[in-house]
Amino acid sequence: MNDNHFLPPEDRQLAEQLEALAERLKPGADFERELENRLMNSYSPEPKKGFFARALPALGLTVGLILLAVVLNWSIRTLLPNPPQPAAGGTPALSKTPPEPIIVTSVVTQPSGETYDWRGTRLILQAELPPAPGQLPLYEYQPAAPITLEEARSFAAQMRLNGAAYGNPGAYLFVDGNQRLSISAEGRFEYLPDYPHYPAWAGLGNSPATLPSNAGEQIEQFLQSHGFTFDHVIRPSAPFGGYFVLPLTPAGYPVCHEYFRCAGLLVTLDEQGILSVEGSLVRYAPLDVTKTYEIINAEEALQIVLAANGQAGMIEGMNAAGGPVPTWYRSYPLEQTVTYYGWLNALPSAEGGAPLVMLDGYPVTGNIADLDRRNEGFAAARGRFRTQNGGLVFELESYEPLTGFVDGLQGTIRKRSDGTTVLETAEDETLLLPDLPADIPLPLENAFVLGMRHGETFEWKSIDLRNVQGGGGGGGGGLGFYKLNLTGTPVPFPTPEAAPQLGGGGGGGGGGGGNSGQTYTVQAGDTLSKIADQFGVTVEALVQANGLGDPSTLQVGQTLVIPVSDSVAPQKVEGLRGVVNITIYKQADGSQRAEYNLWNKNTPFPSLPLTGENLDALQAWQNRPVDVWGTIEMKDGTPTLKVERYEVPFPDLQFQILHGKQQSVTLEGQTATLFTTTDGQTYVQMSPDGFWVDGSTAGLPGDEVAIEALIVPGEAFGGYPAARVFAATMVPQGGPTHELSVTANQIPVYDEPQPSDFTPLTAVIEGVELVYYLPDPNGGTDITDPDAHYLQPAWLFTGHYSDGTAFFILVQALQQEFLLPEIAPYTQPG
Amino acid sequence: MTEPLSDDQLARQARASAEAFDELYRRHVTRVYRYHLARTGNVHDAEDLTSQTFLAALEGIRSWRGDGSFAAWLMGIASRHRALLFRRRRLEVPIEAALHLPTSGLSLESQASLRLQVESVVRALKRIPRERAEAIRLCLFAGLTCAEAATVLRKSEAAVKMLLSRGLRDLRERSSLALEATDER
Repeated sequence: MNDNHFLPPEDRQLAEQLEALAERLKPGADFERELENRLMNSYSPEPKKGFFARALPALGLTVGLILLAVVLNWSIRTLLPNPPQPAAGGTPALSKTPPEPIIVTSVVTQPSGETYDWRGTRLILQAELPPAPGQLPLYEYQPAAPITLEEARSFAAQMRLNGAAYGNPGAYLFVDGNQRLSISAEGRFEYLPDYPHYPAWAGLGNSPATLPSNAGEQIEQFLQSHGFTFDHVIRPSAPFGGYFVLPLTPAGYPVCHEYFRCAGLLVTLDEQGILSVEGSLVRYAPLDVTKTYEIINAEEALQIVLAANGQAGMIEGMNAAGGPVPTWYRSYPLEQTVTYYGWLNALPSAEGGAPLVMLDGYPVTGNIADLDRRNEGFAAARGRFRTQNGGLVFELESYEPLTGFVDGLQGTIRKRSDGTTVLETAEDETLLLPDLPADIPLPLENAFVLGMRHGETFEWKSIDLRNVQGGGGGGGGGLGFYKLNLTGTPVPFPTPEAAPQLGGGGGGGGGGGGNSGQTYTVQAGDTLSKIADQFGVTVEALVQANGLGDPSTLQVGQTLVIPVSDSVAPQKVEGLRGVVNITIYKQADGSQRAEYNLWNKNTPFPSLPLTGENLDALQAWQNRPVDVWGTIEMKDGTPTLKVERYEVPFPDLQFQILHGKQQSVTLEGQTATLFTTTDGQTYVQMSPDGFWVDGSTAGLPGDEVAIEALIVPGEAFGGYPAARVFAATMVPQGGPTHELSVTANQIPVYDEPQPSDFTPLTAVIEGVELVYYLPDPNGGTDITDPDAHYLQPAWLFTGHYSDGTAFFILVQALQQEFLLPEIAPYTQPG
Repeated sequence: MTEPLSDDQLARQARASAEAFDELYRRHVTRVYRYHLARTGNVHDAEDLTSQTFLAALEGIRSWRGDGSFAAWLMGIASRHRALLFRRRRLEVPIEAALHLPTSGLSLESQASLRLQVESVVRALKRIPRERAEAIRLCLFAGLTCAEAATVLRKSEAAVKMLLSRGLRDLRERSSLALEATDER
């Protein structure tokens, strides 16, 4: 973007930094080339004769291959086959009898407990701080090898599936009726008991519509009947809309990853029962059976949380769970010929048999002789759904390859007067939606529909209201844990101000703060008030920062510390010229609140909010010069201008639409744009506030351009009269003209931002427990780094903000003598 | 020496000429990629979404009406592909994987630093109001002018400037971004 001159300097600097960052990001050369080839091969005004001409990118980046990856490779989780012998604390231990299901639910009515001020938020500690042993062992994660066929078969048997194996080492799929089991590496699997009920395109963080009340019992029963006998706890997981089954270490602590990721089994259910089971069990062994390591207690961990000074040794995250999302899946009549639009693919048999051909994950029978892995892709498949071998299959008559892909469209679904149902998208497209379930309430707004276009029709697969919930989503941060120091010789840590920083820019938050570091040496004739004025601070602040007595006496040569001014001495202004810029916020009750800002060049504050009586008359002068008399004072920590009176210097000044041509020149050392109107009048373009040169151009040199401009008398730069440019557009040759109209005098109206944007939240800690933390090996952590392999004790604080957002904080529990002042790798939130 | 064709002219030719579309692809792939990277924070998803965007553009180029900016039209497609479909939790390719090309010319330290910066920005953008984050992605990552971004967001240009300015202010106030100063290298 080359027209950011309208931004105030501090915003402009950030904008330039972001642009500089963006400049350094480039797509990989391989990817770029592959996509280019693919586009060129797909380019054709006529439909292709067959799949075969499409070049599948070697890197597997198509949406279809994502689906393939899902169907084949649902999960990359570790599976722990039932160990034949109990390992020494390494594998989840065989238990004698499964313990009672421990379901921790948070029932927060009135949060009560110790209250703390935590980074500006009120923090309530509702949970008890549990006691903890003084020392604990450490474990080491053992990465899993890709699953072999025998291991896969053995696990499929344990999961009670009868079926052939398809795929390759490291990625096997078993199909038995409507059950699906995919396994990749040892210990990582996904199991769907009823695929048509929960097809591959579900998920994406949507939680099922309802959670049955006996979920714990159902889960326990599943674990027992499917050979999972390790000690565990069951916890609800709001971000994933299901339950975590977390294995316990021999001493009884749950294994955890960061960001609410599951280090065990993730089970989702709905009113019909279990929907999915995803395994991500990790194999580990004691690091040194002879050693234990001292840890901090819960109280000390809490103090680290409260200090919140940007220190490392902490990982935190939050998740605003979207909640259950109403979803409808398309169903097809059995034994009736239909045309189904989806992804056709073939998985090789792992046992030397015929490949498994699938259509969107449904096994395909019938005319599949010519289908193998070389001709996969989207297709319009003609055939019938039927039940076979206890599951839903598609009997194929014929298929036609499609150039297209599954799209996700947002819009309103409504019924037309002729009885047809359509989707009206946000882009003003209208597409037919056939075969809607009877229980969809119409019209349905903000519907999100997945499917494939086919002419005027959208062959949909699912409809849900995920975007109605509004940002489900999370984030996280913290510098990460420290690396471990197991040499036996403690390494000194730097003092807290010099917290370890990551390469490049400053890390998560430490540094800076406190005093500005500025000092001043008192000179003859100085007074406190004079010095205070000079630095824009109050006398009181100076006195406090320097511990000066009262009456304060200064001595020549005395060094005063100048505090960071979070207070500004009130400052009178007279005839301050600036540009008034107004925004109106519509309230929920229909009323309006206007915000007035004065963009100015002559105070330290380029954008000054205006306060005072009778400001509404200013609305007639949006984006135009105004002279103001009043006082600049601090209000809630922000400098504002309390207006006594104002005058409008140019009451007849209007915005104009000018047509002409632009020319890039250098004026007074800056890149500037000259605009010459069709009448031959030349101006230099300036930003809307008139403060900066606007060097941007619309279109190419020589193009005819229209600008919305304000020409303020007396303004000039580089010898040319100034035109403040609010909008510019190229006037295309021939073709219809964009009529540029004056809009800069209009006041934008927005909905008042939701309270959660501004209201300080309360945070409640609902759980404090000791866990064993391992960075998620499948979360993008660099697992080649040995520091990413430690399972180490950590204090886990979990809770919710008052807006429902869940948060967690992991505090490294090992005492500092076992730590290095360097950051260990961990998964970045994604 | 003939002047290079404008995007607008190329787009009209691309209805019948693969080379014209190819040229448009080369001109704009980077901005689309940057936009998606700013949205997802990981290379794998950014690549997938970039592919989707251009495939959709390929489909739609025939109905290109030639009014307004091609870049804005293309970024409109990019911004509408919100859903990266069929995705469960999966192995994320760290940004280093893309930067580990011999031609990338970046030291390991620079790569790590770059990754951290991008991730901190992506994270921070998720926490500010959505439209403001979009304005920042479209204008500062995809390099659209405010006028072009206005087309994509269906707002007035002045509104986009407001969103951009407030978004930047939100970023400054709410996040500590691990960004390098622009005058350092």
